[in-house]
Amino acid sequence: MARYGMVIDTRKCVGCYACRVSCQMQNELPVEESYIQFYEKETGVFPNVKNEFVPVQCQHCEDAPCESVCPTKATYTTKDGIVLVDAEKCIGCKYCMVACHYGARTQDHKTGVVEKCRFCAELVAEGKQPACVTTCISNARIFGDLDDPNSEVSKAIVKWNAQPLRADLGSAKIYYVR
Amino acid sequence: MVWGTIIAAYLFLAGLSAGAFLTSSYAARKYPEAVTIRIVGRIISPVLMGIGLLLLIVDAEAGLKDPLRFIYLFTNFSSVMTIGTYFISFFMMAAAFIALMEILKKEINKIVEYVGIFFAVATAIYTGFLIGVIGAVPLWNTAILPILFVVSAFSTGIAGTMLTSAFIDKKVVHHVMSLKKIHVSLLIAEVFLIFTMFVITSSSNESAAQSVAMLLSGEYSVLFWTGLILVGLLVPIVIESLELYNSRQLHRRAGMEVAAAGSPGFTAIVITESAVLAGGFILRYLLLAAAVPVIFL
Amino acid sequence: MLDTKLSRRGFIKASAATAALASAGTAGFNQWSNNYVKAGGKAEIKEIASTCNACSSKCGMIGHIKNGRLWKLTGHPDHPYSKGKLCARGHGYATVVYSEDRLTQPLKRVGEGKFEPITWEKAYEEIAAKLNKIIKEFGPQSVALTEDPRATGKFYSPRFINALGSANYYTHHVVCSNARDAGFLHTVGVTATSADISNAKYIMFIGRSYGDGIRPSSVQSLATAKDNGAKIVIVDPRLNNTGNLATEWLAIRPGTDLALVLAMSHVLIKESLHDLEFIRNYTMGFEEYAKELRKYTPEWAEGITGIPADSITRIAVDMGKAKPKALIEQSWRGAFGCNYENSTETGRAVAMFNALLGNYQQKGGSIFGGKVNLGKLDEKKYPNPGEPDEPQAGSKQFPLAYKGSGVATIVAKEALEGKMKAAIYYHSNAALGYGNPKVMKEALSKMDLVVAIDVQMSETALLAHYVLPEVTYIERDEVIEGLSGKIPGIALRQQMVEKVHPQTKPVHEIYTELARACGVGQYFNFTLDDLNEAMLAPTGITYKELKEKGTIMFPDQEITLGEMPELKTPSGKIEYYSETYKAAGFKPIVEWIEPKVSPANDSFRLITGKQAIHSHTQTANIPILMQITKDYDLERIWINPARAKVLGIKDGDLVEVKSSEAVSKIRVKVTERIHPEAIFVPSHYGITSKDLKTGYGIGFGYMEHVPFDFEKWSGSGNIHEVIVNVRKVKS
Ligand SMILES: Nc1nc2c(c(=O)[nH]1)N[C@H]1C(S)=C(S)[C@@H](COP(=O)(O)OP(=O)(O)OC[C@H]3O[C@@H](n4cnc5c(=O)[nH]c(N)nc54)[C@H](O)[C@@H]3O)O[C@H]1N2
Ligand SMILES: Nc1nc2c(c(=O)[nH]1)N[C@H]1C(S)=C(S)[C@@H](COP(=O)(O)OP(=O)(O)OC[C@H]3O[C@@H](n4cnc5c(=O)[nH]c(N)nc54)[C@H](O)[C@@H]3O)O[C@H]1N2
Ligand code: SF4
Ligand code: SF4
Ligand code: SF4
Ligand code: SF4
Ligand code: SF4
Ligand SMILES: [Mo]
Repeated sequence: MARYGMVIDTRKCVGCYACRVSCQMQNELPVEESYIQFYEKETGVFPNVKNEFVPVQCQHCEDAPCESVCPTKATYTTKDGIVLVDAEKCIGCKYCMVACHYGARTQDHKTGVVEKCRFCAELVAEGKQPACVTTCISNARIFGDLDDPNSEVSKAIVKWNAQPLRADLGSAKIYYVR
Repeated sequence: MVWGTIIAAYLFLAGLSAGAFLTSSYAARKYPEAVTIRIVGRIISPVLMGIGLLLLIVDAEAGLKDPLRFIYLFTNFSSVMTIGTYFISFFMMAAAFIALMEILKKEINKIVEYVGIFFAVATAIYTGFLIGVIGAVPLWNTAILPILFVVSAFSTGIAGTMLTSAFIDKKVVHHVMSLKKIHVSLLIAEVFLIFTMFVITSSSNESAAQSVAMLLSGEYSVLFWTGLILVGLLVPIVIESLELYNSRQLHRRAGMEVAAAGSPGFTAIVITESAVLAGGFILRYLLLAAAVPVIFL
Repeated sequence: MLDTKLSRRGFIKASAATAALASAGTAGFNQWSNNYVKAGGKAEIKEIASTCNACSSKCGMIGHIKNGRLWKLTGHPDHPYSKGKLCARGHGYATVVYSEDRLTQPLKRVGEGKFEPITWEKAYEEIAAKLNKIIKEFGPQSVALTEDPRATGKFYSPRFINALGSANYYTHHVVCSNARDAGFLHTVGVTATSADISNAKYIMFIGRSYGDGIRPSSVQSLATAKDNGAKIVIVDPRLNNTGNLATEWLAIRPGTDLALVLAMSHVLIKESLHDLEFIRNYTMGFEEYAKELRKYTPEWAEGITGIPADSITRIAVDMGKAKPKALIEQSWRGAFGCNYENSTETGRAVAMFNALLGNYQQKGGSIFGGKVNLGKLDEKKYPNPGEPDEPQAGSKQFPLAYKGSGVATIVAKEALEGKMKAAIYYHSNAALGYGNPKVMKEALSKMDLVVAIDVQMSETALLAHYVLPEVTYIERDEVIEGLSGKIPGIALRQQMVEKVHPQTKPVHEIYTELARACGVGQYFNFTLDDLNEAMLAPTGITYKELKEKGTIMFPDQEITLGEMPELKTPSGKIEYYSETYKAAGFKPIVEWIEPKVSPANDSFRLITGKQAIHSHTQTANIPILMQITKDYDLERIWINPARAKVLGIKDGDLVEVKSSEAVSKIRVKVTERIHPEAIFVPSHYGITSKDLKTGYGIGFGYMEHVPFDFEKWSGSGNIHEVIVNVRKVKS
């Protein structure tokens, strides 16, 4: 059993949206639906300016609020710590959407089912990396087992002191280097 | 707005329905002669709850497409929505049974009525807790919100019952003065609760402060001040207080009570109770609309 | 272990699977894939190695084909540009194969913007008759062919136009890198070097943004350099999206990069930080150059560029100390590819600066890439048309321009002068992207014959007499492509799915059949496979193996760092002094040249640049990519807050942009990330062809504001020599 997690290094992210599009293709999402949202943070005054891109997707929270509020148990956490939505159980009540701290969930307009980043569970089950990680053109994303101290992701978290976006809101499994 | 007008209407109708049920039970005890109020309350409550549930179902698109899935609603006991589903189910069963007995003019089983009262209160509280437990929206995430919703549920319940009754029996609504007193107190409490909630949340959290600013001076300020505060709360408070004051005068000069049942009195009732209902809906709509999620960047 | 119920949409309805498959030919990509996944049929997945066609990089990619339908793509791990990754366009542009707006059959124009279907036979016949008539009347130099050079085009297009007796073959570089190419060509003998970024210690980018003008491996190597502690300086009027990988941003006044490079070169020599031994061994004319450079002090450059003299000195000194693992990256289009009257000279100055650092063919420096020796068709069996006698149009006016690219806009100029009579545009949207669209339209309308070979009704196709529909790159095989680099290699584009529209054809078939109709079929008496087999012959690799692998690298042919190759300049050395320049009537030594125009206090210079999700004009009609523009308002122009304030403009406001050529309305992004003198326009918008329903009407095309012009040296388009005024308007 693993506890999967990710590092996103915003010092490297160039805001290229490759992760978004590869994710849409991998998951066969409608054009308007994306599992990844992008935030831009500009600081300073010309010419001393800094800019940061922060891609945000489901953080696969421990004790995920979306899971505890989901009345149908459509949202669940796998033994490997991946938070998933069972498309056959979801009624589309959107309670999970209001409960998510990260605005990470979207609703499929055709089926009404609420969806979100699924850590590419099928690929991971085959021992592969999630699509967004594979394609990230600046190697800003690292995926792996948080419980294994020798995994690349664990080492990166230690090395760069990566932190969840809001550690105070409960532990998430995506760590950001900022 | 993830949750929009439809959910606002659902929360409003659930509260209203619970309030109407409680109003009728109260009236049945306190004013056994005010039959209209009792019957009206008992009949509108399951009907409104039913409409509310329908709205919820319509909003839950995936379930709407595959209704059998709604069974799963009963499965997660850590979800307020599941618990609420139980509350509403029991409340609906009791309320519908009682309404049926009223229609069939049969004796009402006391136990069923107590069960109904219990779950009506639970339902009213639930509507507050449903959004009150959401940590992601600091404006909602307070202990006051469920109280506010319960208070508002009772006041809209009274308003809904009185308004409907007024159309059936113009006189009866002037009998139930203690109900009116309760009503005014509830409305005053509501004003107090709203502002207390704003002060507490906005001083402790940035997102909530943004929400409050949106309501008091931003995007939603017109609806907030004129729709909720003026129309939904102040106007009914003033009119009902005047009415209460007048009725005291009238009682002193006994026999004149009949005058109040004339058309000016009827108009006042229609205006106040409609205003309270509008306010109840606007309150829920605004709280959903001004939901600013926690800042995570 | 993972729990069950992994699939995103759980339903399994076998009957629906067949229905979804049946709709494959007609439904949009997403609709189809949704149906398909919903149907949950048992998927048969095939992986086919190929190359991307969403931009000039042509990265290696692997198509994942689900039941005969393109599902998704991954980057080819062996290809030097993708290194296992694809950019957003690489993924998204592939959906063009299922685009609703594709050309599906040959068309003939019957009126302004009106077309009628025509059979291939008839189209060939009519085009050939017209071509032959024009050639007979006006000579072969009155016909031209222009393209974006991709693998098949690079071989077939010049051969086709040469077969007609014309040397008028052109590429899109006139509005890409013609200036840089000319500057480099006459200094180091090649139009571009590459850079060993991951090993560099000090990297300067001048108007080159790896994070916007993307090639995945470049970004990866830059990230590696950053991890290794390299200093990375971005010189750009705009803090581009590569900004967070950089250690420093120099917000230069647009159009003045030449002054910066001259001053940095000055500092290197003054502080004796130049590599004397390298200069002695591999360069010529250094003394004259050094003398000329004395006047270009950092203080002088500060006045022109707006960059503090101290910074100029500090950076030059630090680069001198870090040499040879220090370089100015060769750049592409952004600052001196085709933008200003001084662009060619900037390119030259950059190539020379790198020589001062002695970084050529050094670890962490500039690299002359190696190439695989590929075979040719046996000329006895397959006659080659050979070089025509008449020179390429434009080569006299612009002798410094690289012949392999030519000056493509000369076709328009000569058309307006009545000299150019016929033009073929393959894989090119010249009408919108090469020069002022009004001028381009007038020019194209004046010609007797315009043929466009495209996959969609581009602005250029709309102006053509005949529009020939090609299959998309997802549906065709192509000529083998040689990859030059530290390690050379080859890559193959291959068909992944069956033709979606039966009436479309791959371009090698179109050229072959059209050549036959024109009576020059003897030069195309081979098949694509014949050609590829011939090319592969010397490599020892079989066609079958290449088809399986898609990309094959030759590590045994890796170039040796530290060893300078034979240079292709006339002197065989890096030329600080150029006789070629002198012969062409230009100063043989690099010097400061003013940009043609400069903004006043109340006006701005219009500059442009790439966005990660779009390529030129070709991706604007791709829904999965355009949706990102819509979600994040990416079509907005950038303006500095200080200037915006004076003009009473707030973020998101609608403004009017007015130049000598056009007026556009657009919303603004107010940002500290841009120089107060500049307005930045994202390059990819302003589609005016109504057939392109997704792209139509979003943003404006910056070329509308660019006066039709040629830079004196390389003939490039001077596309940032534009002054605009901006004012707020009501929406
Ligand atoms: N996403 C994407 N990537 C592409 C392409 C694409 O269309 N889209 N096309 C490919 C092709 S063909 C090309 S040519 C390359 C282009 O690659 P680049 O040349 O890197 O791309 P640009 O964005 O055109 O220009 C880079 C930067 O130049 C800056 N700039 C503008 N004016 C000046 C100036 O006067 N001085 C300086 N110092 N900087 C200036 C712009 O602000 C911009 O940030 O990208 C390739 N990759
Ligand atoms: N407005 C604008 N102008 C520009 C640029 C820009 O970004 N915006 N960029 C400049 C630069 S750096 C460059 S390199 C040039 C690039 O200029 P072009 O090479 O003209 O590139 P695009 O404008 O993308 O036009 C490519 C055309 O090829 C068509 N096409 C795509 N795939 C295929 C195919 O498989 N077969 C065929 N037959 N046709 C195909 C597209 O539909 C489109 O009409 O433009 C320059 N000018
Ligand atoms: S980020 Fe949101 S959707 Fe993801 S696990 Fe946490 S609460 Fe759930
Ligand atoms: S929308 Fe679906 S996943 Fe979300 S809470 Fe409702 S049932 Fe659960
Ligand atoms: S992990 Fe997979 S599902 Fe999640 S964002 Fe990345 S590609 Fe999409
Ligand atoms: S692919 Fe990587 S660099 Fe590009 S936006 Fe996503 S995280 Fe950032
Ligand atoms: S850089 Fe992107 S668009 Fe260009 S070839 Fe590579 S993957 Fe395709
Ligand atoms: Mo280009």
